[in-house]
Formats: sequence, C-alpha cells, structure tokens
Amino acid sequence: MLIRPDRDDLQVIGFYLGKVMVGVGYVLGAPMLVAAVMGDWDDLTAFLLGAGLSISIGRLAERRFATTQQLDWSHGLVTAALSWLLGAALFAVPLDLSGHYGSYVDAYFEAMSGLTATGLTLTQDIDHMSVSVNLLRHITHFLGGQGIIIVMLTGLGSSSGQVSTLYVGEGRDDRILPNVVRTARFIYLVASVYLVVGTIALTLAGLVAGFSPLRSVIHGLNLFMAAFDTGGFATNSTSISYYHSAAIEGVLIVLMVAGALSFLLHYELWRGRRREVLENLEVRTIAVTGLITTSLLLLGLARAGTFTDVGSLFRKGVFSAISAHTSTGFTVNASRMFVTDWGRIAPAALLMALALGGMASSTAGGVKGIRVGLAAKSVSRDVRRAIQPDAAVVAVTYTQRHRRRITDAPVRSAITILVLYVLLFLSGALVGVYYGVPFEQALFESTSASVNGGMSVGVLEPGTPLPMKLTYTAQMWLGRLEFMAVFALLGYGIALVHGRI
Amino acid sequence: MLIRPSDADLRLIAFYLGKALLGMGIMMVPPFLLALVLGEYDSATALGIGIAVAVSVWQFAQWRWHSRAALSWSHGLVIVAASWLFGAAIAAIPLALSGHYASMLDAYFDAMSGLTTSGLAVVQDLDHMSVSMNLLRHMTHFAGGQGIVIVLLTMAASAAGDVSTLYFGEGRDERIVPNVVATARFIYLVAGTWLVAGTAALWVASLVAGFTPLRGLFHAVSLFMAAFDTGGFAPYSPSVSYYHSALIESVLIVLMVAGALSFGIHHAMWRRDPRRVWRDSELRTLGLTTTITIAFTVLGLAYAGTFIDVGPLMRKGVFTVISAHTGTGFGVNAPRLFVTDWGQVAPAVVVVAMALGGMASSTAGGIKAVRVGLTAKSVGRDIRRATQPDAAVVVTTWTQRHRRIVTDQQVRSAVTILVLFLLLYIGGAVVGVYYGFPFDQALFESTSAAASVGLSVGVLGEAPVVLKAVYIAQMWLGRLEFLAVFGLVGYGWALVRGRI
Amino acid sequence: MTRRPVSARAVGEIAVAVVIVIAVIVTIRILRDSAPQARLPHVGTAAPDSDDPDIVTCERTLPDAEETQQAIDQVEPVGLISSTEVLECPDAFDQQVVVYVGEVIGDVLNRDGGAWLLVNDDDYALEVGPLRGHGDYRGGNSGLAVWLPAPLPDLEPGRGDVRGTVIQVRGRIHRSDAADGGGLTLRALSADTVSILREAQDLDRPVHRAQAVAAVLFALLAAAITLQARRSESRR
Repeated sequence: MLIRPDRDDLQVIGFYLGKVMVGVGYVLGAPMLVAAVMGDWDDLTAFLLGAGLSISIGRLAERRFATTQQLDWSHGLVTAALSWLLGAALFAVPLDLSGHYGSYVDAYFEAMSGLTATGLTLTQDIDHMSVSVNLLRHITHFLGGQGIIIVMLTGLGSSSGQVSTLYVGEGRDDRILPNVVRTARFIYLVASVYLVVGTIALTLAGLVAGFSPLRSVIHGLNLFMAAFDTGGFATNSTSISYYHSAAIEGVLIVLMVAGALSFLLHYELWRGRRREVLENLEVRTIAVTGLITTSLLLLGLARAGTFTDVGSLFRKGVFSAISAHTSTGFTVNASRMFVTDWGRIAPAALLMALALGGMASSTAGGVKGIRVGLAAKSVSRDVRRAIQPDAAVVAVTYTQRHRRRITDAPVRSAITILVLYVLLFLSGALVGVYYGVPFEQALFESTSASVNGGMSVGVLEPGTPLPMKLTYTAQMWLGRLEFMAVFALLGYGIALVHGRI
Repeated sequence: MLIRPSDADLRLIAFYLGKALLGMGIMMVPPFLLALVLGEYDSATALGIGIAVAVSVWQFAQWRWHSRAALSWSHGLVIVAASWLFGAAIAAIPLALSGHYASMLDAYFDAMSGLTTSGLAVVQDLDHMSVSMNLLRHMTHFAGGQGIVIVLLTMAASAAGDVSTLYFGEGRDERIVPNVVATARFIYLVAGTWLVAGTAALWVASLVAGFTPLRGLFHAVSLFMAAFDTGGFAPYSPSVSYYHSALIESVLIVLMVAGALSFGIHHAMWRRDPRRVWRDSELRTLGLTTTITIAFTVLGLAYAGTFIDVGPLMRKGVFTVISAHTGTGFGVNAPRLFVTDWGQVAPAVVVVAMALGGMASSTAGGIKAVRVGLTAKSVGRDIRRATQPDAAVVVTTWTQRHRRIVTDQQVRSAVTILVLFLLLYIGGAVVGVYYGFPFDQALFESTSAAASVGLSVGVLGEAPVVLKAVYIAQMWLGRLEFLAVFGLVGYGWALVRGRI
Repeated sequence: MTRRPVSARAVGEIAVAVVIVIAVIVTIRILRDSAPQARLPHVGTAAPDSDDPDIVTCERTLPDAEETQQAIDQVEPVGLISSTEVLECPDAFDQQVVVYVGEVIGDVLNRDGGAWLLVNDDDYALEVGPLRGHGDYRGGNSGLAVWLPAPLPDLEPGRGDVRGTVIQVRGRIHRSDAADGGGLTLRALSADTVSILREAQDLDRPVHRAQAVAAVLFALLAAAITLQARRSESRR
C-alpha cells in the first residue's frame, strides 16, 4: 500500500530546496569577485543575474514553505534528488550566458557534470574561456564533491537533526562523528587543509613548469579542485597534457588518491590510526583492483606498442589508470588517441578501472570498493561453505573501523547496487549504439558518465545528438546519488498520483 | 579453518563419478546401433571404443573404490563438477575418432558444448558427417540436458538457486541419490512424453517440408533433442535455415520454450493447475523479458533495414530472440550476418536475451529468470521503502507454488550469481579482445558460451586455442552455475592447504 | 497530526512556478543570443591538404627499429597538416616532418632552453576568432603540443577575449615523445622554422548592456525578497 504524500511532506521538501537554491546564489559570489578583478564585465553580469535568480527563487520557496518540521528518511532522499537537478539548472544559467555552450541543455550538462564531479564537458572553445567562468566550472566540482546539500545547509546554519537524512540521501552513508554537523565540519577541515597544501604544491610545480606566478596560482587552484574532488574538468582543451610536467602529474596523483579515500579513512588517519589503512576491507579491495587494472593497462599498452620507452609507458599508463580508478578523468593524451593509438586492451582496462571506482563516502564515483569487496567476501563465504562438512558454521569477517561479520542484508544491497550500475552502463551504451556509435566507444562513454569518471573517447562532443546528451546527464545524476535518492523521487511521483490518502 | 578431505572422501567421490560416467556409455548405445544398421562401420567402431572406455571406467570404480558411505553436500558438488569435465572427455573419444575434428581439443569442445546444451560447434565439414555420429552429437544434448535438470533440482537447495524449497522443502544436507529417484522418474515421464509428441510433430512437419520419411525421422529426432534440451546443434551447417519451413520453425519455438520452462511449471501443467502456472513469478519475469527483447530486436532490425517485409522481419526476429533467450542457439541466418547485416542494435539485444536465459531448474542457461525477478523485486522493495514514512514495514512477495516473502538471503544469493554471470560474460569478452576481436563480437561469443546458448557471430571459427579453452571453461562454469565448480576448486585447495 | 491532502491551489502554484522558470530561461536565451558581435577576420593560410581525414581508425603494425630508422631517413616533408588528421591516425604521422599553422593558447611554458606551447588549429584559431566574439558554434578545440627551441619569437597566447599569436611551425611529429613522457608532440626543427603569421588581437567586445540591466534587476529582486523575509521574521 502506498501512502500519498500530503502537503506537509511537500512543504518540508520545498523549504529545504529553497535553502539550497539560496546557497547556490551565494556561491556564485566567488567567481563574480574574480570577474570584477579581471574586468570581465559580461561575466560579472552573468554571475549577478544567476545569483539574483537563485536567491529570489530560493527565498520565495523558503517563505512559501516555511516549516519547522523535521526531515524524515523519504524527505531527505527526495530533497537530495531534486537539489541536484535544480542546483545544476541554476549553475547552468551563468554558464549558458557565457556564450560557450551551444544550448541551455549543453550548459545544464556541464553544470551537472561539474556538480557530480564527472568532468565530461560540452564547452565550445574552452581555450578562449575567461578565467572567472572557468573558475565557476571548477567550483561546481568542489561543491558537488563535498556534497552540495550538506555544504549549503550546514553552511547556512541548520541543525543536525534537520539535515542528517540529507547526508545519506547524497550517497554518503558513513557517518564518522555522531553528529552530522560535526561530521560536515570535519569534512571542511580536511578539505581546506588539502586545499591550502595542494594549491601551494601545484602552484610551485607550475612555476617550475614555466608559468608566470599569477597564471600558476589560477591553474593550481583549478587543478586542485578538479583533482581532489575527483572531478576532471581542466582549464584547457588538452587536460593534463597541457602542462608537460612530471611534477604536476605527481602532485595530482597524490590529490586524486586523497580524494578517492573515504572521509572515514581521512578521519582515522587524522587521529593517527594507521592500522585502519592496512586492515580496511575497502582499502584492500581497491589496492587489489587497482593493481590488476594498472597491470592490464600497462600490458595492453606494451602490446599495442603505444609507447616506445618504458619511462613513457609507466608515466602515461599509471597516471591514466589512477585517473580512471579514482574516477577523476584527467587525461594525458588527446581523447581520440584512446581509439586510434591505444590498441584494444588498454581502453578495456581503463573501462574496468572506471567502473570499479574509489571508496564509498569519498568524492569518487563508480561501483565503489566496499561493494566490490563485500561481493567478493560473500562469494568466498559461499565457496567455503560449499566445501565444508554440512554442520560447519562458516563466518567471514571484514574490517571497516571494527571487525564485522558478513551478513546477508548488507551484501544484498551492495550487490544490488552493483547490478544497477552495470545495467546503467549497458543501457547508456545501447543508446549510443542506436545513434551509430561503435559499441566499445559507446560503452566507454556511458560508463564514464555513470561513474562520474569523465574520461572520454570522443563520442561526446557539442554535436552529439540531444537524446544521448540527456542520457549522459541522467546517468551522471543517477550514478552520483547511487540510485536510491532517484528511486525515492520516482516513488514519490507515483505515490502522488496513485497513493491512498 | 579448512579441513583436508580424507581418503574415504576421495574414494566416495570416485565411486559416484564412475557411476555418472557410465551414463556416457549408455548414451552412445543408440548411435552405435544405428551405425551398425546403416553400415557405417568406422563410426560403429569409434562408438564402440567410447562405450568400452565408459564401461571400463565404471567397472574399475565399482571394484576399486566401492563405498557405502553417505554423500554429503560438498561431495555432491565435486561429483557434479567433475562428471561434466570427465564426461565430456569420454564423449569426445568417438567424436575425435570420427575425423571431423582438427584436434583433440576441438572434439572436447564439441562434447562439452553438447553436454552443457550450448550448441557452439567447431566441427569441420559437418555436412558430410555420418548419420550415427551426428546423432551422437544430439544425444549429448539430451544426456546433458536431462542430467542437468536432475542435478539442478537437487542442488537448488543451496545458496545458488534457492528455489528448492518449492519442490521438496529439503535441507541442503540431504543426500543426492534418494530424492533423485523420485524426481527423476517424473522428469523422464515428462521428457519421454515430449520426446514422442515433439518428434512426431517435427516428423510430420519435415514430411510437409519435402523430406523422405526416413530422413525426416532422423532430422526430427535430432532437432527435437537440440530444441527441447535448449542445445542448439543442428544436423547441417546452416542450422535451422536449412529447412526453409515456417512449420518446423514454429514447432521448434514450442519445444524451445518448453525446454526453458522449469520443472515446477511442467509439473503444474501435468497436474492441470493453470493458476499455478499463471501466478508463477518466474514465468512472469521470463514473459516480460522475452517480450521486451523481442520488441527491441524487431525495432533494431527495422531500424537497420535488414528485412524489407514485415513477415520475414517478425519470423526471423522472433525465432532468433526465442532461440537466444531460451539458451538454444538455433540460427536462421548465417552467423556473419549478425555482424554484416543486422546493424548494431539488434545483435546487442540478442546478447541481452542470451545473457538473461530461461528458468531455473530447466536446461536453459544464462542468469535465469528467477534471479532477474528476485533482483527486480528487491529493487522495487527498496524504492517503496524509500518513499514510505520511516515506521512503515515494506515487504515484497514471490510466488512459486506458494506466495512467500522475499528475504535478504534469497536476494543475496540471486544477485551474487547474477554478478558472477556478468563477470563471466565480460571476462570471456576481454580474452577475445586480447586476441584481436572487436569487443562487441567478443562479448557476443563469450555470452553465448557462458549462457550455454550457441549462437555465433563467427569469432569461434577463427579462435586460437586459448580462446577455445576459455569458451570451454565458460560453458562448464555457466552450466553448473558456479557453485559446483567452486566446490571442486575449494576441494582441491583443501587437499593442498587444509588441516587434517 | 492530521494529514492534509494536496490542494488544487498548490497545484496551481506549481504550474505558475513552472511557467515563470520557462520565461526566465527564454529571457536568458534571448540575452545570450543578443550579445554584441566582434568577429575576428580569417587568418588566411592555405588550407590543410585534407580537412576530413579518410582514415577513421588506424591499425598499427609494429615495425622493427631498423626499418623505422630507414623510414625516418627517407621522409619527405608532407606539407601542411591539421591536428585532427594527426589524432585520427597518429602512427601514419610518426616521425614525419610537417608544416603546422595555429594559434598559441593559454600560456608559454618557458623552460629547459625553449618553451612548450599548445597550438590550436581549429576554426576559432584560424577562421572566426574566439567564440565569444560571434556565437558561431564550431565545436570543441583541437590542437597539438608544440616544442619551440630558444630564441623564441614574441608570443602572446590566446585567452578569454584574446586571439593569440598565430604561428607557422616546421617540425617533426613524435607520436610517443620519450622526452615528454610519451606524449604526442610536434618539435620545431629549429628556431628559424617558426614564423609569425598574425600578431595577437583583442576582441574589444562592447559590454552586453541588456544582460547588465537584467542582472541588476534580478539582484534587486533578490535583495528585496531577502529584506522582506528578514522583516517579517523579526516582526514574528
């Protein structure tokens, strides 16, 4: 039996959506300042317009739906799903006005790609984009990576009881500290320490690579946000190959890996508990899958003869593998070269790394290490059960903060989500195939969008048919929210129509 | 903690393995007799050697490893996994001697393909193969197909299928043998009835299609075994397009679908209990996925402009999807046409259909409708739970004989096997890619092998040895639905590393 | 708590909200399309040999080292090429001496006795100028990484509203340049083989007035609503 949501339900959802929209408006202030300093007047007005629009709608919603009610589980999920849709729509306004997007849909795609930390881009003539608009693209990474709603709401002074379900709704189900606001504060702390250290490191590396000081800071800041939030946007059309610098690539590898670690792990490291790193199931799983995919990638590249010397093979191969496995999506070669110069195995290995993804409760996307690890553990339990005497009790344990026994319920949900991801990859690929894209390339692009990876083999470009762009947009959204919030939204829609009062 | 198996365990396994391998010998008797009647003496001697080997192995096991100990669950798994491996080796003996196989591995490939009811074939010059040897190929389908039904039914109590409680409600530590006797008798009754009715129908259809009575009978028997056991071998190289007969194709569709229905459904139909058939959740799932895949295939074919008229479009499209979905693998067009003439969408949908497969406890391969259905139900429950107030209790039910609440444990095992199948499909495709085949074709072929379907896009014809070996392993793993193979592997591991 | 059904009024409000959003989007479209024009002139170089590469994908066979060296020694300069051609079949252009024309983009990375450049040869670089000047959408950017040995000519890279210096380079393509960690590069043969075809140019775009007005209006609206909300809150 479905219960139709009533006015109170819609009210509380509308109220929190309003808060998020106001937050979007405030965030636009940052690039606006940059535009003012650089003297890009048209960009400044575009940001002002976007901010005004967001704050107006947001404030109106807050007033219209004013409530002191608490969010329950389903409200949290629905609000999360809608926030990402609406947030992208609002960020798309200044992007569209910048004139670098063929249509509002393209700008919306870009905003969604930014917020979901994907990094696929539809920007046209990005090499002539102004500094402030480019900064906004990277800020969306930062915001989305840390969890847009949680940033907005805790930033705007909501209490913990009100927003805790939202935290889960955004696909971050690991509460480190008992209180969500304190958890969020810890996340800010980690992120800002990395922000300062990472940006300085990248700026220094940029200076060594031959940039002027100011340009070095701009590149450093943007690169940091794209790397740490495992986003993958870049300020220029050639991504990381623009820099020709091993030092920058080295720093980025550290940042990408840091971004793919869960905040739980950051917390444990912060507290000086190194053992967690060695024993954590998810860390171990990712170490294994990372090793396998990287070896396969290197093997494939060596077999295809893409690189003539071992140094290049490792530099390009390892960077690409890490970029894919952390679902960042930085590339160190032109994306067409995946198709024209990388043979067949290496792109397949990249595809696997993309699909696997980083750790849960990090900014990385993909199926996630915990799900892969749980699935593997559960299979091993089945195998062991099959060969033991019938009466034997087979218990398999894993460590995540504590040592736990594997039970059916978490395994069920882990594998279910895993299957949903695979379905998402395949259905997106079918849409691509329908529009005449070869299957491998369609699958690569579809997977890249679904796991918020952002690597591209060149299928996605401004001229791509509209339905494909929309499919990729939906995939990024579904993948980032890990299905549940979107399902809740769908269910809510159905309940509104068919539910009983 | 692993416990190392004792001598008594191995002896028990070898004893039952010997019994199972005798089945291979029995299977060769009808073709042997046929060879004598038709005067195909070389085939007769080849089959005679096969029978002799099987009987010797059986007698040796009886004499040397005789045992009265009770079988446990893990013994059962090891026996099942091993009997498919060794059974294929024995069935490969006459095939290899027939001279139609370029190597021992090729003969083993066809034997495994036959026993697992896959239907991929590496036979050379099939069109000049002797009638008796051709019959043997189809007999492997029948032996393997009916064998797997028994095995799956008894294994079903495990984590793998979880449909068992349906039929017997027995625990997983029950011995294999006693309940086999009761069930097997009924299975043979059903299969025997279908054999008579199906062969008769096909015979009549082939007479209408223009065959002489004797040739018609040979084709009817072969086709029946390949269709009802969802195998996919065919007496001549063009598969079913050899017959140019809509009538034969329709009879085959009925037989393929019958083969892909679970034993439970057959039982219900036998008991004239239409409500049980109609309400069955797995059957509904199968119906839904079949409808969807047919619709998309037809769309894809129309989009690619493969057929000009609607008639041929529907005839070829529907037959191919049913052949793929039931895990049969009959083709009504040349394999290369999937690549060169079917566009991109239709073959992709065929891959999906192959991957999904038929019902559990049938001869069909693939993921199986029960797993797909349970996964879908579980997702549906998650969605409902997400939209309800926090206090609401949300349950979802699954009807197979009785209506029951879906538990986490059932879903966990269903999705686990589902994921393992996906990995198996993709793993085989990556090996194909490694040997230079395009990914889509490699995936098609790999899925076809792992889901024991048998449709081909021509990759197999050019496959190097390693790739063939991979397909053999896939057919074996897919047919046994992993668990038995895991049991075997674990047993080997325990032998080496376990404590006494 | 009693459950209240969703009223017709609420549905009406939602409909009005949707209409308003659509109206806003339409306004934004109009604003964007009415941006003032500042199209830069065509650079005026000879077109590459072929714009549409016929090779879509290219299979590479691994040559042995000796053959490769012979092939390198024999190469004839292949003339003017485009970056898309090279990326569609990198192997065909490996070690070839080519002529390449394009716009310097972003930054000049001065180091190690030379500089790394990104040199674009897309339509924005050679034909129509930066996109913001005209709104004539020509897709994404395309270019090659170019290494120039010192002494460098005076280069101003393109960014934002600037079309950078357009240069012509004669150099060798390295499909996998070991000195650059395996990247695809074009290394100029010497400093003299670089010439400047056109100096950098600023777009000099006038400010988009209509957009500025709209922005101020929206900002005022936001401020008004915020203030109003504050006031009604304090009154409560």
